[in-house]
Amino acid sequence: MPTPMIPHDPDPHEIAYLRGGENEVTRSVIFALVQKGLLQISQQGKDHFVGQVAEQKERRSLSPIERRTLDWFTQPQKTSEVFHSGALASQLKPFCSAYEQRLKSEQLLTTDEMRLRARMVIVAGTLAILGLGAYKLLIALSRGRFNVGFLVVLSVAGLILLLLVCRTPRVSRRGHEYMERLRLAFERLKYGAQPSQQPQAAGVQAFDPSMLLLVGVFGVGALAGTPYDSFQQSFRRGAAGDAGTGTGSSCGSSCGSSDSSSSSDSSSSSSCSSSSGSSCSSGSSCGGGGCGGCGS
Amino acid sequence: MAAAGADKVLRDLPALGVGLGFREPFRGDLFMHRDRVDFLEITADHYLDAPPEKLRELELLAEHFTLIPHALNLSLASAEGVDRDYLKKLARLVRRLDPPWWSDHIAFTRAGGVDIGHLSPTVFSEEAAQVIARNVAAARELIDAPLILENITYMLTVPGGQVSEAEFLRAVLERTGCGLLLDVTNLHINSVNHGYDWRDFLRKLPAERIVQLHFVGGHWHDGILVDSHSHPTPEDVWAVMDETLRRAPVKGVILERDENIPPFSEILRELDRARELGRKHERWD
Repeated sequence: MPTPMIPHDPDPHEIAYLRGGENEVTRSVIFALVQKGLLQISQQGKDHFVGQVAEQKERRSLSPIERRTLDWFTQPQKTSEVFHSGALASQLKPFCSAYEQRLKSEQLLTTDEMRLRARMVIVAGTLAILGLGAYKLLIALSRGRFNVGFLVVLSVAGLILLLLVCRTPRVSRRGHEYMERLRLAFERLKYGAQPSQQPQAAGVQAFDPSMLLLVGVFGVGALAGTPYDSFQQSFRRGAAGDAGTGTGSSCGSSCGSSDSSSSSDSSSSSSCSSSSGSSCSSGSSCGGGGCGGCGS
Repeated sequence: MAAAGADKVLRDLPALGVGLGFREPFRGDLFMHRDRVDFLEITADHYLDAPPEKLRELELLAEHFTLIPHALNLSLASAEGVDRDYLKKLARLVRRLDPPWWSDHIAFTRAGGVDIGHLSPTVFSEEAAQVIARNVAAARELIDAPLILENITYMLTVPGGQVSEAEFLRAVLERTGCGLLLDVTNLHINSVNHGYDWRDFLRKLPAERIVQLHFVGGHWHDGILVDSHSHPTPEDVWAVMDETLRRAPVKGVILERDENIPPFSEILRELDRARELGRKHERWD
């Protein structure tokens, strides 16, 4: 199947889901609401809080997922809590399920059928390697030859190679190609983002769809040096301990060391969470800051 | 007979509508506003010896837009002929993109084997028209897609000319069978700097050969209007475009903004205005 075209009206939240799962959707939706002046991020001591802006503006332009997220913030929440509690994730689950379904139907995410096919290849390949290895081993032993070390090493190497070739990461090859296409198309938006003149709270700016798309495609790390720099900083800090919560564990394959089970251990989650946001957004190791656990 | 054939080829070209001269800073915004940009003109020279990243960009653009290659350096007015290596690379690019047409300038950029790095005017003479026709014929040996030729601006008229610029353009188009890429900004700038009436100029051109337009704004420098591609299209140029669209079966117009690049919303406003003008004269939907 050819890589899909870039849609006329790309959905930043869906792209965020493809890139990093629920956590990335959460970040992009919160960013959209901050941009629209409906949520704000405040700092108390070392902690950052997300809460509704006192005077709520027009809500009609909000998408359902944005409305649901806004409603969840009746009380200000610590940025880290947003990911830890799981409550917001459960609110967003129906939307994420819809994204998941659509992305799977486009074969941008690995489908159950793909996984099944890969498993069948692994089983067949394992049987073939082990069968052939055992056969050769028996013949060798029956002839009194015990120099079978190379055969054993070769069989193990074959099995490892098979598992590597047949692994099924969350994002399919087509999905990676599509993300690559999106990055190429929209990377110039980074340069269009005005550098911030002075540090400021992540508050209301004029809504700029290109900034939201930037977050969808590259993650909040792409906001470094923009007027929303403090947003990416607070989410980087706040989300440092959320590595792999929810289904945002897609980082596994591209970040290498992120572990979906290490949900609260920021220091061990991955190299991403302990490094600066910019290293995540560079796209070198994390696919443009796309790891669920990067906090960016 | 040959002229009739050329006219039919040009008449049958698809109406592309309103497009933009592609520059890298536009890329993100272009994909965000794909429904408001009908086609793109790429500078062919940027992709002839391009690194893989530029080729990926080209592939991405080609998959989402109709692309028109616009060459800068074929030097069609060079009496020494065209650079064969350059032409081969250009032909490879055009074949790869399979565009409805491609374009270059009625100018020379090379003389005596030296690259001038500038679009220089040729003398408005019968001999110069023959040179261009010969070079166009050489290009056609390798490139099947229709070629359209662009008028340039010039600070001084090259001595030795026998005809006016408009008559020269007409002669070139007749000899080559090419269409005209009429840069209405260049026409306006030349008319100001050389003191002639652009309406008279337009009347002397074969309207049926005008395939595409370029437009943008320049700036004044020491009493001379400079084609700097740096400002919004001025009202005078809109007037030239309106009249050209009225007279000629134009297939597409391209905004050529290179310098002093504004927010993309301003670019879109200019494209929208050009679209409305074309619609007024029923050149496209």
